[in-house]
Amino acid sequence: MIQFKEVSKVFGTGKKEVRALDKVSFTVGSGEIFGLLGPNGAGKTTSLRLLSTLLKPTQGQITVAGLDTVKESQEVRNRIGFLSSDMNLTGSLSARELFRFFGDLNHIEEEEIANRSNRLIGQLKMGDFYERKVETYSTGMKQKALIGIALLHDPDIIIFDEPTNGLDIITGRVVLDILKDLKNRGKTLIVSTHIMSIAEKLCDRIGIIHKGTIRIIGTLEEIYEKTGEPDLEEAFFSVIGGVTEDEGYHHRSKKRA
Amino acid sequence: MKDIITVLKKELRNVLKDRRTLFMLFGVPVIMFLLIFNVMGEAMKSQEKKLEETVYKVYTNHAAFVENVFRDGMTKIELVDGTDSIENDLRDKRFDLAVVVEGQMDRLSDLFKDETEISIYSFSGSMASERIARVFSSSVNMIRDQQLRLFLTEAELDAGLLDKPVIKSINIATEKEQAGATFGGLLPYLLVIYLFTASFSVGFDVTAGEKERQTLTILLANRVSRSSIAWGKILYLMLMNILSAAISVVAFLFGFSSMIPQTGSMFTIFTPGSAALLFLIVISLAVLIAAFITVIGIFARSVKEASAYSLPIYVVTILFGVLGLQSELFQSQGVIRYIPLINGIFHHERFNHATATRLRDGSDHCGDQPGRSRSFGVSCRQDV
Repeated sequence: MIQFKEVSKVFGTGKKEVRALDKVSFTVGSGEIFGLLGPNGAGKTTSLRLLSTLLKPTQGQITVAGLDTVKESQEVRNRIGFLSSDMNLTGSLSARELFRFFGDLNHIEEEEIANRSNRLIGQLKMGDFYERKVETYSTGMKQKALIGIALLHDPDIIIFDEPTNGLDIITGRVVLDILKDLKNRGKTLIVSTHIMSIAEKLCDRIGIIHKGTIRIIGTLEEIYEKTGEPDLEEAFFSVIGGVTEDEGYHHRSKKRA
Repeated sequence: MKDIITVLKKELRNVLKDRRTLFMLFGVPVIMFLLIFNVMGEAMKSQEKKLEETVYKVYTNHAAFVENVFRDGMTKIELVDGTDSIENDLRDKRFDLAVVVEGQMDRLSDLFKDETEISIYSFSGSMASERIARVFSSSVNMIRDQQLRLFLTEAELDAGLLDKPVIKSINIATEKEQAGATFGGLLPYLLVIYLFTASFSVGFDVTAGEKERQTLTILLANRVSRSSIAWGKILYLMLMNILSAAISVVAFLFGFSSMIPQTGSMFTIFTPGSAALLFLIVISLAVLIAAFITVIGIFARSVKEASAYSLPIYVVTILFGVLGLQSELFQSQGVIRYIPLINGIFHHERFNHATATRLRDGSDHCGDQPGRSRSFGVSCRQDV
């Protein structure tokens, strides 16, 4: 379903060059939940932005359902739902109006947009705030609205970058329930997180990325076996070599959207 | 096309619910123009009244002559005694005018003596001084003409020779027509500036602003093409530009009419042809400016950065606006006419010409001097 082939991404040139990804390869099968774990600046967000066609790889190729993310970017975007922790919602429109807008952009019938919006509003427990201007929303409310936008066109592949980042425990649980529901419906999910419990509960397979390279990939059991550690957190530190300097931060703060 | 319209509709829905932005775009120009012209009108009226009621202070070494010049009493004067320095006292506004008569002048006929010389000192930094100097000069000239006429009559010569050739100065432009011509001259400046300023606030918000706030990513991660997003935003910007410029022009016309009530409604200056031409000018300028702003907004990473990039463009725009006011400068032919924005000025020129033709009812003469006349401080140019 999703395939990274020797993918590299370099930002800047000369002395300012930063290699965010270096020959990353992995696949995610249909109906699978794949977790991408890594510290800040490891290359998680870059990987997911490449997958969602927001960035182009410097080297290598990414395919989604056989479609090239560079050459067939529009078709790829048609099949994915993307949510990133650095996305934001502002403006005078309400969540319902935004659902209608993105529904129109995805050429969904008006009646169907209304049906899907109502279902998502209920599922996301949006209470009555969905009619209010999004600029008045809290972080959690915005995250729920963004999830709704990402799922409105019922994509087969869902890419969530740090979906519970900055959320309180209640909203975090709602998001987790949504992810479980998507899993049960046979959707393909690729989720980046640094919260080990989410990865443990949800993911079929996990890849740990550090300094732009995939260090280990496999099911939980395979990772425990390879690292000889009893849980994911210990396995994670074992793979990345303990507490290390956050080398990617400088680059992340400067890169363009 | 459907996606472009969807993006456009979303932006419109968003702005229509944003009362502050709407007020800044459409309310402020209306309030601003009405306020400016009303204040200007009141200031002009009070200035005229003040000048009429002013008692001008005059220093002279020949009080009898000066009093004779102002004997009609239409201009009130008060003679000031003594001065150490005419220049200093004029600057210090101790008096408004100084008249120094050299040579003996007991009678008006002494005006024609070789040794007679009248020096008129005024200070152009003072409106009162300028005005009284002008009045005094023309009054002296009138007295001289009367004396000449008297000499010729006494010498049994035809005094009527002084009136030859007969020169009739006929300004066929009514006050309303002159005001219309002024409006035509100001229009390019007004439109270019307003089309740009409306673009800045709205354009950078939906491009660089969305990038900065991380709201554009949601749209970019969707199936809609980049070109549809860009075109939707350009169309939205164009629409906002046109609406804002149209409201500004209407407010300008209302304000102008209220400043000079004798001109009546200024809206009658438009013929279907000139209105269509104006519409085409506005559309073409709006497309160009919206594209400019979108490109800058897409390139810039933040509104602050976009504003910094746009500053030189804004200065150039003001320059073009000012050049539009002086469209005689653009009489040259050639490639200059194909440069964007500059060619807009030529279109304005055509619009102005169409407006002026309508106003002048076929006349190509505008004033008592070739190409220029004055009325309530409004100039009427030959080319407009």
